[in-house]
Amino acid sequence: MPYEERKACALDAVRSRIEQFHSALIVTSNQVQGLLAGSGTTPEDQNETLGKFAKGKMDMQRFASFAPKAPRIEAEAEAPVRAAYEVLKSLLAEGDDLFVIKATQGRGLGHQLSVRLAHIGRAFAAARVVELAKNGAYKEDKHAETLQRFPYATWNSSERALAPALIVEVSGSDFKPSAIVPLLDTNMKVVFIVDGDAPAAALSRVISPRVFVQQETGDASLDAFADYQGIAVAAYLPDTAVSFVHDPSAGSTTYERFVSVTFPKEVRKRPIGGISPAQQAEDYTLLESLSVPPEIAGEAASDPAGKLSAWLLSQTDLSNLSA
Amino acid sequence: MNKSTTIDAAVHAVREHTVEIITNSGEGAQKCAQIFGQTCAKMGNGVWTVEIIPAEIEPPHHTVTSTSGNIIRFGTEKITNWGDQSKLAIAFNDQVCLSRHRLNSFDDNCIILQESAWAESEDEVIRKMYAEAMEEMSSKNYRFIQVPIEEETLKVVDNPQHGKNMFALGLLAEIYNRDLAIIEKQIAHIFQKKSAKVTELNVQLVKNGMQWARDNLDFRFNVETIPAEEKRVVMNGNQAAALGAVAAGMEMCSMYPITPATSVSHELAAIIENYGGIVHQAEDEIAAAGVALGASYGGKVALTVTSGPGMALKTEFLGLAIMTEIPLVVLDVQRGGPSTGLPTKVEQSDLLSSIYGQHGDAPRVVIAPRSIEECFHSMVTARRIAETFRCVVIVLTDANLATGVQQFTRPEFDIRWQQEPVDFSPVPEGLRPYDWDPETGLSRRIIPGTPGGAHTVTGLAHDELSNVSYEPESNERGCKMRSRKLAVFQSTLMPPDVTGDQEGDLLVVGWGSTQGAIEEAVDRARKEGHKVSTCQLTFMSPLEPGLKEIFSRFKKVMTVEINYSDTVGDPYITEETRRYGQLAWLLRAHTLVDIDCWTSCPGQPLRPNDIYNSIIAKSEKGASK
Repeated sequence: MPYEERKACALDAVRSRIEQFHSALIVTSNQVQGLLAGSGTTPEDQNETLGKFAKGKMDMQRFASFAPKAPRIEAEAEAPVRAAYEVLKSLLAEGDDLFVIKATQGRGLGHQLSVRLAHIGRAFAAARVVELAKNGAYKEDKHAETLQRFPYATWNSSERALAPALIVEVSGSDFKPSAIVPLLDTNMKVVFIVDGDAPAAALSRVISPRVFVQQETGDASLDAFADYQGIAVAAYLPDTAVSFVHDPSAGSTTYERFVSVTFPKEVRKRPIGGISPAQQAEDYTLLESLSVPPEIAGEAASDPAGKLSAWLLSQTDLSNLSA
Repeated sequence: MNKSTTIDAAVHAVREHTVEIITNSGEGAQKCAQIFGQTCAKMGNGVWTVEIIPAEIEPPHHTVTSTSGNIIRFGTEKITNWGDQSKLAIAFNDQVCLSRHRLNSFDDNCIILQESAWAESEDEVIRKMYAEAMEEMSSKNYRFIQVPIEEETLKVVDNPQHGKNMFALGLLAEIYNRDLAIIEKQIAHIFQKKSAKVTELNVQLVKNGMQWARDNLDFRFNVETIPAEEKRVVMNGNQAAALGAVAAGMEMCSMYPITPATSVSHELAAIIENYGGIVHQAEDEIAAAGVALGASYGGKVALTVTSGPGMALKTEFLGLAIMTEIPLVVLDVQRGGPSTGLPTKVEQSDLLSSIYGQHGDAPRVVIAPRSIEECFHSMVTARRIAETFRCVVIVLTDANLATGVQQFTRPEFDIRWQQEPVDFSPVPEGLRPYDWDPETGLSRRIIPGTPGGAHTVTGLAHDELSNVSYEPESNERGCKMRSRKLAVFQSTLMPPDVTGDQEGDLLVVGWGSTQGAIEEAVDRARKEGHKVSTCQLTFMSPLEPGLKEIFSRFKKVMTVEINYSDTVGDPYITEETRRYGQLAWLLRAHTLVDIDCWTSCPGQPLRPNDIYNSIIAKSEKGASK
């Protein structure tokens, strides 16, 4: 699939999450705008807050005279609220670009994602600043900087649940997805579009029981990725890589969760960027070991008791046992 | 597929038609009707659909109690109710057909397309049941057409239970010349989470149904379509209420599943999290009310959803909400009562219990949407009233609105509906938690955490400081202030509209979902020269102002309601012992006007023709034509 088509597919797969974030951004921005404009104080505004059901049945003007006026902010709160509003407006103005990272070669992938999330997180910081300012709890020295940068580590669980999905365009030589593992939390979704030769089993390093992982080499869509509710990572790679889908909802053991795996006929043994053949082989072996059902080997294969115990083990879900 | 008609078919032009699809429970009648109704609406017909749902889950098949189905009334103009009798029916067996016949649901000349397999069943009992059913139905002039629905379905799928409905849809599509492209799109939408093969097979079944109709049916009906100029949406009342709740900025819906309200929470659960809200399924009805109340106390915009039996259980927490003046919106999708009553059936059963069902004086606002569109918009208004007057607002819909489907103008979302309700600004020194304005009874709502606003909250009688107080004067003042708010709110209401002449012989008063049927009946009577008008109430507590004056302009006033009232002349029933319909009770007490009522509680919506007959009977008793 041509690069641009892959990008379009990736955008489709994360569209609902982007729209959800955008929607929250718009609603918050409008509310803050209303706060700054003293919205809710005009009879016309009060009329509208009552909705169509009341039209012709209620005297809107009279109702407005009893309605509490929308809280006006104190004079000292206006500056931070206005600054927060500017942040929301600027993030909205970025459109889809806000969620697309064109990774710079040679700079760490994890770092670049963290920087972008800190940039996006300013939306949450803006919402927090507005509340603090309204309540008289805003502290310039403590809170102003959050409007410049609000790292993912400081997002609370509700904010993380609303995290938008990211699309990362990255060269194969820089594709070291293990660097993003610390960011894979709550609801994070990332799609990589990898350009050029890349390690064949690169995404094996992000597989864990609750993470949906899809590595694609062909023109398959990312529908399952899009539908998955939870942490998910996908990547489009060149056809020299492994294709696989690890779906946490497909089973309790690791190999059951691999709903499809296709290994390439040949794996090239040469360094890609700073990734040595040995490191690539490690990833590849890891993927093989995770995706293949356990076999009975050695003495156990011929020993009836060994066979029986192996079979019993295979029928028993021990996943809940702690060490 | 060749679209040539293999037999000559007479095309009858009609302004509207009513169709029934009746099956055993679980045979997909709802899906078939849903697609057909949506297709009619999208093509530009007015539509109203009504579900026929058995009261039991999975009742025995091929019995009169197993009937599940849907009635679709559609026409060139706007349709506001389910109408009178059905002109065409598709019946998957003789027993479900018989059950509808016994309910007088079919027009005398109804065309019934009936599954042909039963007449020749190998089972003698079934053949006998079939023969007896046909004998009973022979009293009417129905035209039965035997259709091999199952046999034809088996040509496409292995399990006819998963396909007969689509074959039936094909029959309807051909009879009413529906747009196959729209049907295909609807099928694809409904089965979007299944494989493409499922959609393909269903579309094939529709095409086969159409072909069978072309080959075998000698009639068609043309219901002219007029595509709408404005954007429209098609949905049922529960969907509309759920979307309305989201549009109104409600952040939390706490509920416990109860028919026929449950699907509100399903609809909400599918979308509310995208807008920062949650649906909480509590362990029971009481807890659901408590959770919603707690959320509102904490500054959230909260809603609880239920039906009659749930309302009974929530009573204690509603009392707490009223005493503590915590805003709360309660959506009550009424069903037949008392007790568990008629879970899947319609009744305007909760009017009086919603207004008065509380110990002590517990004033609350009760509003009643009259259409599916109003189910959406009422949520916006309910929220605003609750917050402005720090009160409980009960929104009364019913099973007719909840499951009926209608199209309406797509609401234009206004951000001001979601205006932030909570004022967290520091509480001025000296302001008390219940600093009631002596004129209006209004006071500032203080949310926990508001600087300077710390206080305890109690359901006990309390003073302005929220301290428990049993002092006679203090309790009197609290009652007065809570009651005053309702009077103040009533001062913002306008007198209701009277449809028809502003004075005359008879005024028919209704509320809620009966509007469409009442207006259609009144319109028919007026065309025949009767001096009858109608007035449909939406604010039930407090009532809209000016009612006594409006009633005084008519010789007689009669309510029409879907609930029980006694009939004078029945054993022991006299003018003195007679119990009235709930709205009639309310209006008689409120206006001291001698208001009569015509009510019925059949578990199904009222039919315009029945209302018309009641109007004529009432007119003939005294009013002049």
